[in-house]
Amino acid sequence: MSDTTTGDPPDRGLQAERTTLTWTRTSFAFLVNGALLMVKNLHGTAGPAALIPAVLAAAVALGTYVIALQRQRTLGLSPLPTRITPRRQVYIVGIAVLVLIAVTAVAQLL
Amino acid sequence: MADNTTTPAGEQGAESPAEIEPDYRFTLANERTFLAWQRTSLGLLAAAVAVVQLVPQLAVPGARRVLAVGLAALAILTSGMGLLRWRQADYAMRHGLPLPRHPTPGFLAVGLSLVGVIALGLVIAKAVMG
Repeated sequence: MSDTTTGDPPDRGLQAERTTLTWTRTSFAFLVNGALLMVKNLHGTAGPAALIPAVLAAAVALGTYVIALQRQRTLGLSPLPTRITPRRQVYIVGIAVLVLIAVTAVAQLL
Repeated sequence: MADNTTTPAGEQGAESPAEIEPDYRFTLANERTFLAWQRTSLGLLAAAVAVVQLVPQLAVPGARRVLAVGLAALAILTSGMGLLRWRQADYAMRHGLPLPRHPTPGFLAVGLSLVGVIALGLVIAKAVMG
């Protein structure tokens, strides 16, 4: 597939846009989790320790949004850099999800 | 599943050590797939929190907790698998190998079906027992 597409103009815009929007959507998914973790605190019993998971979720949401902005800038470059694999960003988000699950589980389920 | 990431390095090393930079569209598609897995995981986590926080006491005591722990476990597996699959697909694309085939979506479907059946059972139990 790669050799047939070298000649014609590639549809850069849509690919970059879809990928950036995917990062933004993931950021909102973190934010929704943070909001949900705040529900209990609205009904009273609000110790500062109870806020940790929600604050973590909000911080990770912000971080993911910053990555989305970075990706938007990188993918908007012309010509595109040869190496655009977001290895570091992928590991950051993957590990952040796992940590958030662990912290939430400790706070809510145990 | 871990074998997939480790074995090709030994086999391919002598023949084609050079990495091919894949077509940017494949890299981006892999990235989007990874993020979709992470969002699925976050959705499962949200469901687990909602079950604990928002669902009233069910007919069977402790059922909420079991359901929530199951959802959280599914969330961990989904997130970990997403990361693993991204890495394997990236490796395969760079070395010109066929993409790894995984039964992971099947596992997720089975897990979600199980959660659905348990939830349905609890709803029926609540309705019958008042």
